[in-house]
Amino acid sequence: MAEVTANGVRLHVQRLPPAGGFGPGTPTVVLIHGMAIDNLSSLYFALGTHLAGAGADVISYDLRGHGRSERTAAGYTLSDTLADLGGLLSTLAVNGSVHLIGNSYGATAALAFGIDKPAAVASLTLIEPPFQIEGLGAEMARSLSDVVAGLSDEEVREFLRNDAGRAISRLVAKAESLISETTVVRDMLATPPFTPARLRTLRMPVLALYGGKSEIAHQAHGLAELVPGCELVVLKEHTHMVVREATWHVRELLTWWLFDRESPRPSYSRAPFQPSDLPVWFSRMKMSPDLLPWNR
Amino acid sequence: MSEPRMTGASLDAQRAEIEAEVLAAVTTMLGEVIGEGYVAGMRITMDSSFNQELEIESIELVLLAERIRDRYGDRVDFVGFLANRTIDDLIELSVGDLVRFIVDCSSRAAPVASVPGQRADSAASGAGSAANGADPAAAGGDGEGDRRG
Repeated sequence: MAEVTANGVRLHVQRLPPAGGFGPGTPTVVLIHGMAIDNLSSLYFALGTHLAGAGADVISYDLRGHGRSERTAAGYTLSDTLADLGGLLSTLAVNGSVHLIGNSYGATAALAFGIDKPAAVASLTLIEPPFQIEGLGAEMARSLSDVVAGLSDEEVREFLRNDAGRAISRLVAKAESLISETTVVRDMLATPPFTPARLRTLRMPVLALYGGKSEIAHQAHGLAELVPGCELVVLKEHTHMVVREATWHVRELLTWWLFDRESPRPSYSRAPFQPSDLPVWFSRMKMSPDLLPWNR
Repeated sequence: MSEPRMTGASLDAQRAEIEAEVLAAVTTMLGEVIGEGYVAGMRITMDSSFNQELEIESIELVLLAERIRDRYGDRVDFVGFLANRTIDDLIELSVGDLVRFIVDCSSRAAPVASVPGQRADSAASGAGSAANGADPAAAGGDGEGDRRG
C-alpha cells in the first residue's frame, strides 16, 4: 500500500500512470472523494482507471480519517483538508498544475483549493459540491448528523446486525468511529463560507456537475453565476450519487473535459441503469437533534 | 529434430496448471489484503465471488489491484481491465474471472490462450455493463457511498 506523509499525516495514495506513458501534455488528475461513508475507491473505480486508460496521470488518495489513511483525533477542518492536499502534491513532487476532480465534500475542498492556490490548479471539476454563501459549515455538519441519525435508527441497526454483510458493516463502522471519535463534526461546523468576491477571482476552467434530483441541486445555479465561465451540467434524472448512477456519462464528460474541450460537450443519453436498491434508510437519513454528537 | 506437438489435452493440462498457480498467487494476495485470518476460514476457488463469498470492500479491491500491478507489471493490463467496468461490474466478478484474465494476459499463457476453441476470457473483453443506480453499500460494495457533506 502506497503511503506518504503529508502535512504530518499518513495518507494512503494510489497513483495510476497514463496508459501509453507520459508525454508533454499528459494531464495530472487528483481525485478527491466525499466525507464519512466514502474512500478513494469510489472515484478510483468510477473515473480513475478510465482516465488513466485515456492518458491521464491519476492520483487518488484517502482523505484523513478515511479508507486506509491515518485517522487523527482532530484536524478535519476545510483548511486542514487543503493543507493535506497541498502537502500531498508537494510530497509527490507533482510538477505543474493539476486537474482537481472532487465529489461532494471533495468538490467543496477542490473549489476552496482552487481559490487558495490558483497557480497549482489547471482546472476544477466539482461534482455535487455542497455550496453555500451562508451557512456552509452548518450544512456540512448537518449532513454528517444525518448520517449519525440514520445509522442510529433501530431498523438500520437491525439491518447492520443481520443483513449488511462484511463490506457495508466495516464501511459504516469506520464512518461511525470517524464521526464519534474525532472532531470532524465540530470541524465541519467551522467551515467558512465561500465569498462571492473570492469566487469571482477564479480564472481556471470550472466544470460543475449536479444531479437534478439531488437535495442540493438548487445550489447549482448560484455556483455557476458566481464562478466566471463555469460550465454547469445538471443531469436531471440523477441524484447526489450521480457518479455512481451515471458512471459512463461522467467518464465521457471528464474525457472530453481533459482531452477534447474544443469539441462539443458530449450529450447525455440515459444509460439503462438498474433501479436503485438503495435501502430506504440510506436515502432518507433524517436529522434527529438528540442524536447530534454535540448534544450527547 | 522436430518439436513435439502439443495436443489439445496437454494444452488444457498446461492451462489448468498455470491457472492453479495464478489462483494460488491471487489467494495469497487476497489474504494480504483482506486479512489472513478472514481468508483462512474459507476455501477460495475459481468460483468464489468477490461480493457474495469474500464480501470484499471496494478499498480492498483497490489494494488487490495494486498488488496485481506490482506482481505482473505491464504483462497484465489490470488498469485497462478495470477501466471498462464500473464497481458494480467488478464486485460481481469471481476469482476465476480475475485468474483467467491474468493467465490470458501473461506472456507465459499466450500460446495457451491462442489455441482455437480455448475459452477467450469474456471478462477481458471490456464490454462492461451500464452504470446502475444501486448504492455501493446496498450492492455489496462500498464505493461511492458518501452521504452529502
